[in-house]
Amino acid sequence: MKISSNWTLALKLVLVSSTLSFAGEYRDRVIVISKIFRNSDPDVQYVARRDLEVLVSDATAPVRANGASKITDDLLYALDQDDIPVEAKKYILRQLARVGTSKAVNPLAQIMMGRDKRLAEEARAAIESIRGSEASDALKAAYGKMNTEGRLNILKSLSLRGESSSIRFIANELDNSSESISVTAAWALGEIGNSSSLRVLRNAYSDARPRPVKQAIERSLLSNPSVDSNLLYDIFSQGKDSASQRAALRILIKRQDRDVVDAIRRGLKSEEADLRTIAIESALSSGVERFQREVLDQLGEMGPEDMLTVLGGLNNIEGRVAESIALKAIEIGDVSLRLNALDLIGEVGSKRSIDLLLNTFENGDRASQIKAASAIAKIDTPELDKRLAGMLKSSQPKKVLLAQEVLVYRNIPDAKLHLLEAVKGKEPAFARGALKTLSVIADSSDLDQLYTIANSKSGEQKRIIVSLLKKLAPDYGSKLLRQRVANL
Amino acid sequence: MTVKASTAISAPLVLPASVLGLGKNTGPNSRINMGLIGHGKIMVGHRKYHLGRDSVEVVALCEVDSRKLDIARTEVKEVNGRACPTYEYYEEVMARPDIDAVVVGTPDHWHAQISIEAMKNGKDVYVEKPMTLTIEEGKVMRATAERYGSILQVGSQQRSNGAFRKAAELVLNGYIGKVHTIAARLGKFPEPTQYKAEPIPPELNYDRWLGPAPWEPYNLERVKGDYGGGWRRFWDYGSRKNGDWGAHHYDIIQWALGRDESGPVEFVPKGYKGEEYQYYVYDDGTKIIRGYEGKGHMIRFIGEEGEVRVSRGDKLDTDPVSLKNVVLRPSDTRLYESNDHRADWLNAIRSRKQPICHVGIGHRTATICHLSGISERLNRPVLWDPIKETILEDVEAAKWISRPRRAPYGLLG
Repeated sequence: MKISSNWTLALKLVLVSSTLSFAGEYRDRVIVISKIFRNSDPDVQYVARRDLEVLVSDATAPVRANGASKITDDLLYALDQDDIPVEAKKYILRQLARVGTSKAVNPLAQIMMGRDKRLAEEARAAIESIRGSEASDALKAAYGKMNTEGRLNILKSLSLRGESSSIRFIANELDNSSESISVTAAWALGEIGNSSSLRVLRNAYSDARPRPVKQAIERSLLSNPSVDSNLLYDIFSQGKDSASQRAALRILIKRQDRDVVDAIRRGLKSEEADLRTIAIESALSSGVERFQREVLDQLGEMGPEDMLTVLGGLNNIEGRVAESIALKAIEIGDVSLRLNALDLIGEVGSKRSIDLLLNTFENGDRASQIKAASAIAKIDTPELDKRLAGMLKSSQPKKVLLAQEVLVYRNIPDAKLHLLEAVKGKEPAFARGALKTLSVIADSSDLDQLYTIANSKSGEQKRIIVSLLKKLAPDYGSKLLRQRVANL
Repeated sequence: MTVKASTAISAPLVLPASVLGLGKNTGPNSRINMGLIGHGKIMVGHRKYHLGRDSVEVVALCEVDSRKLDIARTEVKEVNGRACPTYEYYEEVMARPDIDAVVVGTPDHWHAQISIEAMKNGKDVYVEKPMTLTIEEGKVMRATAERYGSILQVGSQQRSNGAFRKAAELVLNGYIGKVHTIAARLGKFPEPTQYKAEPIPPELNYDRWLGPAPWEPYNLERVKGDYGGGWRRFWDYGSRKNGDWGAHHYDIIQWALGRDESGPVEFVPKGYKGEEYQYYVYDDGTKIIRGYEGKGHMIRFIGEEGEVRVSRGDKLDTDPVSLKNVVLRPSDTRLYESNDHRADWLNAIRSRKQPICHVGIGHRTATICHLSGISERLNRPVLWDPIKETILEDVEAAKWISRPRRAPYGLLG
């Protein structure tokens, strides 16, 4: 970065002035930094911008008393100087948006009404963030003198301030002939979101209004946690868009409103897929059995898309019921349903699902095998561990090999003992199967045992074990084993 | 028959989207009509992905720079064989009731507003990381998603990678003992600068590009999509590296520590009282240090009984080394398994089950990015209450939870 001589001089001034005492504690430093903006070098200007930010941060640190008040005074002083560049004033205004106090409101209001549109917008943003009624009063006083765009901006500022005292002012604009103003007023009342603004919105909702205004009122009503259930039923039945209808139904179900069962039924039987989906999802996630029952009673009439939504919500209902539905979904034959059902079985499955999982793992298509493997790893039943232990001792080779492969995913007691015994044994197919699994799960001590076994073997069996050791020992073997294997 | 994983990681192989019913042979009624908003660098991959699926119909493209829009339009026409409607203003995409979902690939300062509008209009959302520009935006997004039942996936796609999942599961289940220190490598952007004003290209709606961000003169470098700088280097449009790589790595750290619904309690900037590194701390003392020695990895978890180190490219290393091969016990906590971040979102849209990196997770991760940035800008520690989600004992710092929004782009909730 090139640093001009002007800038280095300015920096020195900042450093020197930091030791001086003027009328304001930070005034001299603010002025010096502000004047650096006369330098057209962008890097220098950035350093000044950052210096100003650091100065204000330091002034308002928790350890400083009345820091915000002091720095506000000094920023205002600089703002009032004719020889401070406009670019500097822009950043001073941004600092006032962070830390300004009510003392800044009047000077900011003047800038907001001034000719420089960019500074005016910075001033509006600063007033918006200053606490106290002075700021709101200044915004309201300016409102009548603004064009439509300016009025919209002030309505937004008032709403973000969230003061009840602004509700009447904003409510008057619900009937403004400009649709953009009345829509913004409806949004603004939603943003304030208290009982007074709710009352205004509720009254306004019953009146005939243009569709966009009505839609904005609806959305604002939905965002208020105190909105009454009757209104929600109205929005659910005749809302301006399906998103609002969905939201209304969700809130009703969440509240466990006594009449909501009827709404759930209507949702489930709706021609609109959106509403059916939200009825299923909301009812299942409610945790309320009578709501969930409404969904489960409809299962026989559902298509694959709705069934998929049901599967998505089944981890919220009792495990055995969920498992039964997942097993039924697999019978339908739809690929998405099958895969999602296998996922679910991993979470809620019991010994009932073991045969299905092992069979899918062994004979399913590739995607189903992967899902089955994942479910086998997760399913919370000791019955599977017992089954696998039994299979490892089976007289049927197919079962032994399947169990060995499953051990890549399922950590059962004594799994490695079984595998090492198989490697030691006389059946080459079992030894190969065990080595295949060990190639994925072996640790350092397993490799030591394999080394010992290798030394007791000869011919092809020894060659396979040595080959595996040579592959794994460099990464997973002890130092001693690595040396031994290197010499094999 | 074999479903074998590589010897490095025993997690199952990647599941292609097609097997979720999201690829070929999906019925027309179950197609997801999608709008793609913001056609910079990051959207290129999204576009190619979604254009390649029968389950998705790309029906709207939106971008404020007509040069980028032309590229996208041509690409879609080549793949689909027909023209796709294009828009300069996202509001026109929102107004189309036929659109089910949108991908938001704009710079960070537009993420929240577009996502919120989409959810209010009944659309599901995939939004790039970090989810937001401010903590306040995240709270509003979370509330909106809850209200409308929206499916929102944040593009912290490391969650959908087997190596990161395995690393997180090892840490979460105590395989390296109590974790006390975690190193995250984020890299470094050049310092922001002012840049001289240049003429605004006629193809770019610059005021719209700036949107709710403060007004600054146009310069190509300011708006350029550049993973080494461009708009990402400016505080006005993001949280610099904390919001860039931090949004990926802090996300994995939250996951591994089981803190998805919580967060750290203190953030300390580099240089404060001579601190060599920026760091943040959880309430149990676990310390996350930016830039600390990662032993060649992006994230390094250091526990009392071992280490887990993980990076992109399926790189996973452990001390002891055999930890990599551990088969989790049935009683261990399993993390949400996804091997394709976009497919996971598409599946969630259809099943209505929340995706792997949903709005709540995205908000908590973005909160860490922003608080790290706030402490850096204030040059002092920031104390955070992750339950009440407030900055403690510092009135002025608390204001940084939000930022002023430039008119007329002030609408948020």
